[in-house]
Amino acid sequence: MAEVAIVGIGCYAFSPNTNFVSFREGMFEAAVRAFKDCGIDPRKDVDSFIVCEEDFWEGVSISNEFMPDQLGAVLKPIATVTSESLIGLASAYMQIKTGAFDIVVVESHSKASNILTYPKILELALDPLYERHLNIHPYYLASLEARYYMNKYGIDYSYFAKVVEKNKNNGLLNPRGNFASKISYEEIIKKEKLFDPLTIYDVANLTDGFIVLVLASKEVAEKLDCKPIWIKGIGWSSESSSFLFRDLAEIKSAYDASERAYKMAGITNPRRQLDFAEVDDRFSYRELMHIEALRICKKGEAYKELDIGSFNREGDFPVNISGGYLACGLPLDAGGIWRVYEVALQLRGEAGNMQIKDVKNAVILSWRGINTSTYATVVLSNED
Amino acid sequence: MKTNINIKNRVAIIGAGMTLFRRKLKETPQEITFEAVKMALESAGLEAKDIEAVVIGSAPDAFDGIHEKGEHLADGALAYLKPSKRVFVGGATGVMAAISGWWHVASGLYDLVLVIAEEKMSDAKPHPQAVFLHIWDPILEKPLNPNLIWIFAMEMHRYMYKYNIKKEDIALVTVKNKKNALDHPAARDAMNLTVEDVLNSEVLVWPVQRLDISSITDGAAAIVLASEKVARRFTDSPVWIEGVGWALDSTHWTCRELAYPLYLEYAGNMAYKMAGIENPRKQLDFAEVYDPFNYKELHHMEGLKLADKGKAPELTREGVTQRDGDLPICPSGGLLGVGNPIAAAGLMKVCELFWQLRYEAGKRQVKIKNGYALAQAWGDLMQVSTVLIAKGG
Repeated sequence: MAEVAIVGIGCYAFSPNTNFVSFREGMFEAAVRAFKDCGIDPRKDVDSFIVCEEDFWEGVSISNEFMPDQLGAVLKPIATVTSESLIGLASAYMQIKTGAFDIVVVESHSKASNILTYPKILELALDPLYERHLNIHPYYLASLEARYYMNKYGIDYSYFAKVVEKNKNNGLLNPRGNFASKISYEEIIKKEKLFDPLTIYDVANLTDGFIVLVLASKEVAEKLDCKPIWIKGIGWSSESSSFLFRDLAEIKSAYDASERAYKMAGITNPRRQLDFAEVDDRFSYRELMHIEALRICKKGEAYKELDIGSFNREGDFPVNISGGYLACGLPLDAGGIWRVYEVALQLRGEAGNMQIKDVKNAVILSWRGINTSTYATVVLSNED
Repeated sequence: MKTNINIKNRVAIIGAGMTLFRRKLKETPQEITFEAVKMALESAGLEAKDIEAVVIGSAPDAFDGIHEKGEHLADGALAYLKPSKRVFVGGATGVMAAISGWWHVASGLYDLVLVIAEEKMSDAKPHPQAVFLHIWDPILEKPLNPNLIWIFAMEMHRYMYKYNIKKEDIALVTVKNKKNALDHPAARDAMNLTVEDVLNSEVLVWPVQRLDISSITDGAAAIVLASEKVARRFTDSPVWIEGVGWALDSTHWTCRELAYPLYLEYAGNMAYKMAGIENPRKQLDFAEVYDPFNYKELHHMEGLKLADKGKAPELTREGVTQRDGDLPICPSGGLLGVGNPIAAAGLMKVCELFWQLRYEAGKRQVKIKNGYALAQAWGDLMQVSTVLIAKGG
């Protein structure tokens, strides 16, 4: 049924500080791992490359210039998609579906440790006329959103603390769990507020990381020595970039993106048809909103399910087994395909200590950050 | 596992529009985007709600000074609750955006896709050239503090030296394109010039002179793409995208032969193969090659095999590339004549294919014989080319 598979995955230097490699060396290492994973030679076998990076994260103008050499992509089709890396994955998916490409590589990385003025860069994504001159850390938008969401559905902060507890503890089993800790609910709830109602534990830290995925058409995937993970459905969507024109408690484009992906994958009852989910948790409260957007539970009821432990590792529908951004760190725009990497490990049965049993289908919802309304959803499966 | 040519779905261009190309447009980037989108939708007879997905093209974020510019422009592109994304390959972004739109439709996922390219360069202070001070390798090149025009001067010099080309011959390109642009309603730099005017203009970095270069411009261009299934519902004369190609060369431009654009040969070959073109010189009716500098037009003609190596100036001198010549090059007036809002300039070339192949180009109309035409853009560190081949009727 599915026509496109993820055949190779590579991750390197997923760590808060990677001063031992340049971004190019990191990309090279991740690429080599991905190519080795499926036994291909980039110079001969790969038809096209997609890289997801953004100039202001990279610190150079036209960052696209620096991409080809270390991927083995010199004199090959390679294009930058300056968006959430799952949208880069969607581009690769579409390229293969045209019939003109057999193997396409997607790369994205974060070198967040090089960024000295992260809040200032976030601020540059705000509307220059209406929003920018407020001149405060853009995470205040997250606190507004969280407060609005709490009021609308009658939730208190304790549920956000439970999300943090769950994810930080899940991350203890993940080799990439840079910020995982054995933290307890009581500790979190006592912490002073950073962006009220959010504490420092509710906001994901930044991390570096280099991820490369290799995608192939069905015909080719079946010939390669690999464990293919099939892309069943993919969708992405955005509303206005300005928070002035959005309902902060209703993330409409997240619902839209998920609907598109489910439609393509033929999923009508996500809770029953899927086994687990990885959702964006760069702010703790967002995990609940995103779970609702994926229709895993009813709108405004994710906190109830959280409370009875449905989203735990051993629960009915595990969410963020990897520990998510709260435990592993936020690798900027590489977040989407980092989630694909984690899910692929689970679906292949190679997740080591993290592994949960009998999983077939999973969904990922990723978001581009507080100053955007861009979401992408992908449904993955280890069965064709 | 080679790039195959089994494209399942054909893709048509069914509408195009572009704003005026000007320095210091009063509109915001979102408003310029909206203007072009509106014109493209009207040209296709569609409304915003008919569009299924949006592709945005825009070059360095630093021009507009906006991070995550794709999201910002999406409002102007009417992409509310639609899949939208931005693609970016430096100067070659304009045609890349069209190519990206192509793969949206050719994949069978979408039937109607809007492609929009916008650039607002003149907001950069003190001068957009300052943005180009930060495109270099931070360790190897930045300490020299190079300027973009310097490296193009090197490339131009190398090209002139290797093939023994005179500046007089290169200047003819400026004269031709600025004259062609006199007939373009959106043009910013249309002029009647002589070769002497070009040769007497201010020297920037020898051998590059003021009139060898296109100028800083604001503007936007948009096209609407449709699948074969629905294209004829909206127009009787769709323009088909028959081939696309793109390739990036190594970052290390200092290690490359600058006299010949090898990456363009690769990109061109990919597009020719897809379109089934064996003899581009004969089969193409005209070409909109990328001409931010006058020598680049010649350079690109050679990379696209429209002229032998070092022979493009000869064709220009003989008048082959004039609008009434055997192989018109840049009948729109190109970047030298119409203006160079980087990404929008690339997509403007695709718009020109659309208008020419539908006999809608007015005074700019060239003779259409085989129905094939080509648009190309170029960018990054003299490193990337994007090629799109369209067929009329």
